[in-house]
Amino acid sequence: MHQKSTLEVRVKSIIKETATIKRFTLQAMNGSKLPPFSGGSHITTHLPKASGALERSYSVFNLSEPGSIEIAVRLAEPSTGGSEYWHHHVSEGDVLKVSYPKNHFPLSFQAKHHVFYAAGIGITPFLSMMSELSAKKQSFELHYAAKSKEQCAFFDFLSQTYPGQCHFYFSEGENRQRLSAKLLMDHRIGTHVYFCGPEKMIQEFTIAAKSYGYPEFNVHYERFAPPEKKDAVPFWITLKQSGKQFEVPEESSLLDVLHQNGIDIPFSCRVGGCGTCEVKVAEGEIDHYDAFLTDEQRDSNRTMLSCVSRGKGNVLLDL
Amino acid sequence: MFSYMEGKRKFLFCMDSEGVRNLNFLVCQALNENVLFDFHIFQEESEESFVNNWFSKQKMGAYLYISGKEDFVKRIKDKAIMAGFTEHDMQSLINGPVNKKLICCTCHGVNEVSDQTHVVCVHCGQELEVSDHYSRRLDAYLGYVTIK
Repeated sequence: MHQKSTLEVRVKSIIKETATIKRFTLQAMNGSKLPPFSGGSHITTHLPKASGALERSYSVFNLSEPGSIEIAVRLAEPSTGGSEYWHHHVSEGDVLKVSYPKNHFPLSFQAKHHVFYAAGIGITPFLSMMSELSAKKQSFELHYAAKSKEQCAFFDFLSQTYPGQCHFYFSEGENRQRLSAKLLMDHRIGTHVYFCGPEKMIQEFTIAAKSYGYPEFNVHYERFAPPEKKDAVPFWITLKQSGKQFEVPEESSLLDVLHQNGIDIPFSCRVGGCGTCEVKVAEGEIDHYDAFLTDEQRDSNRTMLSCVSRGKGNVLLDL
Repeated sequence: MFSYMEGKRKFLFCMDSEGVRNLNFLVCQALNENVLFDFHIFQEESEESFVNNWFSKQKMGAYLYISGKEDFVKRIKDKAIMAGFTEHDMQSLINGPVNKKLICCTCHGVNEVSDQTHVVCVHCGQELEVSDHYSRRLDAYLGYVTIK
């Protein structure tokens, strides 16, 4: 939902998990507990940069003391600002503002078996999911790809905590092994699969699952950045009720343009994953880039997620 | 009527002797498109362990069609759900009369109905309209107050 309230947290500890990944433990200011969260939840952190607050979302987990919240941040090359800030400007004892935990990547409650596919820092949502399933004694397995054991965050923790349920794939060094989407062919009926990693990996696994006959219902994935739009072009919108017209330039989202013009559309994830910013379309053709609507809804051209999806030419919105 | 599901790895056709004819066109299409399938006509309840074993061996991408008399369809569907199939992995079609449970919106009592559109609740006497509002939890339909 359109949640504006934030929590103040103190950075209790910073642990270097790998050469490029740091783990931050956040605790409540007054010694109380931070809010609990379900497996797959994330927080949005508000980083005070000179150019204005930078909002970045990270999956949350808790491998240490109850009542704290942990995140892991990989230093991106190039960084768009968030990971650079966390790695180079955050120290133990610092106070930061974060959102309450939200969950746009929940576990299925109907699954007979859960299978997690992670690449690199994509492991983070699965840490809290595996912890939840383990506590409920439900069936799961993890397939996790990294360059090497040294660059595989939480390798020791995962191997020790969930022996027999974790499969690692290292692309460098001896005994190289690549994580393959063909593994999807072997899951028994009732399995739900979850993907988190680079855009290319998510796309490859999603396409493979569909080609093997997986219902959309059984396939889950999470993006923390909007999907790449290789050839975004400007388009125009008309609001049905007021007749007002606006241009959505190449570099802006429809959500941005609506907000700039005083139309307060609620939003949350801003990467096409949660459906909060959905707007109804009266006329026009849409290029969908979201991960929320069903195929039928996309084909109908009657709705779109304003944070990521784009129109073609002129679009009449039911607003 | 059944609809043919594109893009599945394998079909399971499951029927009693009454249900065979509903599945012919799907079997033909699967043959034409070279999609793997299993085809079983069931006679007796004693085949229970076979059904359990058959379902539990299926992989994701399998799709189940169940056709036959009401009791048969219900029994097989329950087993399929136990094995992990959901409404996204199957379709079913009942041959012959369908008896359904109807929950009275006034007294919450359970009534048995077949093809009626309106009934009188046997528990409280309320006139009810049989809706298509189905509860999976109760395996029953909701009976609304009849508006005259």
